[in-house]
Amino acid sequence: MAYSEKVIDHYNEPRNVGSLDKSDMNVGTGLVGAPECGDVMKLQIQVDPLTKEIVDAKFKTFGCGSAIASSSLATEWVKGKSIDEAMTIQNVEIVEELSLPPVKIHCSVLAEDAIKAAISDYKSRNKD
Amino acid sequence: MALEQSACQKCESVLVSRLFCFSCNALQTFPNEVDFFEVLGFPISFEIKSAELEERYQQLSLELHPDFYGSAPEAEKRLSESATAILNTAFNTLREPTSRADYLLHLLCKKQKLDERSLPDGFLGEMFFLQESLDELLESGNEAELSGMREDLNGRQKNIEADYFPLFKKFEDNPEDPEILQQLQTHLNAERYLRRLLDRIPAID
Amino acid sequence: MERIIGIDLGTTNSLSATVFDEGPEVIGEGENAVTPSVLSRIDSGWLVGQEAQERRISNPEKTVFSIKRLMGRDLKELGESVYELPYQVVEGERNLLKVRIGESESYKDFTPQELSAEILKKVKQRAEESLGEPVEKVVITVPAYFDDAQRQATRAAAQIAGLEVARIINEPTAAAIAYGLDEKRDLQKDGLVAVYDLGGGTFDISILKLSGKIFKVIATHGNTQLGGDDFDQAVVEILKSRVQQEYAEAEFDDPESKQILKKAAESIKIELSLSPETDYSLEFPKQGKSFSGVFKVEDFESLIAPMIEQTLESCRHVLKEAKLSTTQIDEVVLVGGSTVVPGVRKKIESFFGRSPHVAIDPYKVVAIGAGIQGHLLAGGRRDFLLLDVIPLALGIETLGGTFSKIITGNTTIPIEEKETFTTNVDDQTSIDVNIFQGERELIKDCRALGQFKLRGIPPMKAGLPLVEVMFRVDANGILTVSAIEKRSGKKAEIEVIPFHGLTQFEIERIMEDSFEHAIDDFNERQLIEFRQTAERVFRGIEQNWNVAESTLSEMERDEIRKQMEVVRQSIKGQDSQVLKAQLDTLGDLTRPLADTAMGRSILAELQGEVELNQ
Repeated sequence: MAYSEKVIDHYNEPRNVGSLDKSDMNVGTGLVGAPECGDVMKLQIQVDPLTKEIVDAKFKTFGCGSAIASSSLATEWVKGKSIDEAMTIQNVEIVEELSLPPVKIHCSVLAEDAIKAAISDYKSRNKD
Repeated sequence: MALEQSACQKCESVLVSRLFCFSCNALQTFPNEVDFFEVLGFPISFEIKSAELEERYQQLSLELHPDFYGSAPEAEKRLSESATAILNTAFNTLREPTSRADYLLHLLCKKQKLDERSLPDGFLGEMFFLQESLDELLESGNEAELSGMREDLNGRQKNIEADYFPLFKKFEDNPEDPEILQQLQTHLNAERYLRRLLDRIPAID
Repeated sequence: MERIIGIDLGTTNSLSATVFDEGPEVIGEGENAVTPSVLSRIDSGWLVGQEAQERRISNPEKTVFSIKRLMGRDLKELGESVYELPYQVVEGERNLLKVRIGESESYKDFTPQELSAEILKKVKQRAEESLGEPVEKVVITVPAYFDDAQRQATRAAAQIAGLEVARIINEPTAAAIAYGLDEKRDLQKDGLVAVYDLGGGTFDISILKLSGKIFKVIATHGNTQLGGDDFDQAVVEILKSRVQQEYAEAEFDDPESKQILKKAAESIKIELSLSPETDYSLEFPKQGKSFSGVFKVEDFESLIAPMIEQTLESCRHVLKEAKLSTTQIDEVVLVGGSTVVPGVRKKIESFFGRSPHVAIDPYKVVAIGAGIQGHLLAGGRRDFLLLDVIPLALGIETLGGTFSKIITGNTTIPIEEKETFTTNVDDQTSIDVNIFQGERELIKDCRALGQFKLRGIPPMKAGLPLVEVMFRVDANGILTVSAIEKRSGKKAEIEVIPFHGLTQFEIERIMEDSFEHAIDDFNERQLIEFRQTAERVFRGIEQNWNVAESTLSEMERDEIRKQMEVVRQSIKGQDSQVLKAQLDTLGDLTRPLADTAMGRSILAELQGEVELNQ
């Protein structure tokens, strides 16, 4: 299988690794895991309270190369999107972009779940 | 749970293993999805004595192995090879408690839909925390703390394994209770996260 | 019942064995049982074995040894060591190694498979002569840690030699069979056995569980680039630096000097197994230099200590894999020529805390085990079974150069695993999958075995096809694959491109080539073999002349002298059959000499040799 340069790049030099301040009201944190392999992924978003636009995103993933690349790509994609737009990101888009083999599809599911979990965490903390 | 007995394709004797007839020494053709309990000739139950399993495995290996079909017709040779392959997979799966529990759970809940990602409350957060601490320990190379962590994780793994048997037993008595299987799934999920952590800790002599 | 013989295709020596009425034994007697794994190029073919061994110094760049280390490997993997060889090694397409023989204009390249085939042909021929029947099927042994490419290469070599491989088994496992089934030895019938196998070029450690009729390998580890050759090379380096202390400008890069140093190192190693120090003298005729000195066993042992430590590291690793400690091991068995080195034996003894089994000759034990396994495969017995493992995980390349395991290492074989693949773009009809073997996380640290091209996938939207690929590892530890597209039920075609091996087409081409040259080769080879035999017979007679004087009459001695002169004349001729007849006569005349205790070892062997070549 030949992987595109971009994909290998996401694996070798993952973007946006790190943490945001969990206690910040404008930060949403998503923590998800893949029981198939024991991978754990934390993805955080920083939302502009006025525009509801995601201005920053960080992740930390303990897992295989595909999980790392999936979460790296996910943080790239959500930045600049509104939380409603980000909510529509599907795992199949990640699969396509990264050409993931079937054995690694759960890694993309994990990334999609992480985005959704982070957004719902943000929403639940900013109900009013 | 009682095992549905199959008959030999040649002499119609009741088969112990789905792969071989001990009465007339005939290899049996078998379906792709043959279950591992049937392969080794055990009732579908978590309770298997490991000495008995090992003995049956050896007994069957001594009949099925391709080494004994060197001058047999090509079709029989191939059957012996694939039968031995599935015997090896079945034995490896049923030998270890966690893989046996996982396999049995999937056999039992064919109709029932389980939440395959369920975990105990707060477990995932704890795993993330442990992974981060492990990163730090690996960087600092603190062997005492590393082996402490390993012992702790090993202990938790053992506790989970010890629960498989009573849970399956409970299910045998209450086959209508969907919660029991879900509980087993939760145990198995948690075990995999622990194993993942343990894999990252290098062994120290 | 057909006969399936066992062959130990070694780095340094090759042997065959079978089960006779009296029990399992190597085929051939004394030195005749052993074929040095050395071959030397002559105009139209190869000299193999002892004849080639003798040309190592006179024709270094045409004489090939340790070919086993090149089987299924590439230049990068061999590293620096390849430049220490007196013969030239080049890399062809698909990283296939080749040995280049001849001058720049008229060179010819040979794959390690072809060269190993020549050794196998010789072993086959000698076995046939000794048994008096054709040999067609064999069990061949390989180091347990040989990967798929190395096993495939060995099987291809046998195929080229015209042998059908009934089974490839692992050397340490073969040794365990030989011990475990030997009624005369006191190896426990049930228990855990560690087999430490250090040969000329490879090292393996295997842990086996013996229970009743079953010999089950639990775990294995090793190094296919570590063995007695490396001991020799370390000695060579010391010799070089000692010579250079005296002659600062001395250079040893020519093939002849390399061979002189290598041969000296080999005999120093052997001498130091018997005595605490040994004298050596080196003659470099081209440079017109000679040098002599003393080598002490302490110096030798400290030289090899790091290599032995590497083997013990493997032992620790395999015990961890098997979840065992040294105290749980019931028996330790030593295999391979390098385990006769006392320094090696001491270290093993202290590591396992027990004295190892050495009752069966460590040079013969592997061949004998293979012979017993051949007997079982031929249907001669069914009272034991060997369950072996695949030494290294098999898997595929996934994202970012990571290695995704499909079959884990130390899994009992045969084994089958399925994996599903799909397409990335609409109407894609083929998928390329790269196959690797190893235990590391990144493919760059694993061995590329080959590429599978899945073709004939029905055109569908991306991601819809489900191609189920079956990875099957047979009882030889060799991988085959087959594929089916699940939605259409259509069989996908698989084309395998081996990265270090020969395709079936290439194997067949080599076989055709070698058949065409077979007759020419045979005449020339016989002439050279008989000439060398004659030289050795002469040496034997001269060395034992004092025996002749005391045991033979004046007339008998005269007849021998006359016949020697006749043979000398025929050596200059071109008729191998005439030479042979005259050597036979000389053999008859010297038989009384061979019967005396002193002459027996030399002349009996040579007489056997003459008869062998009939």
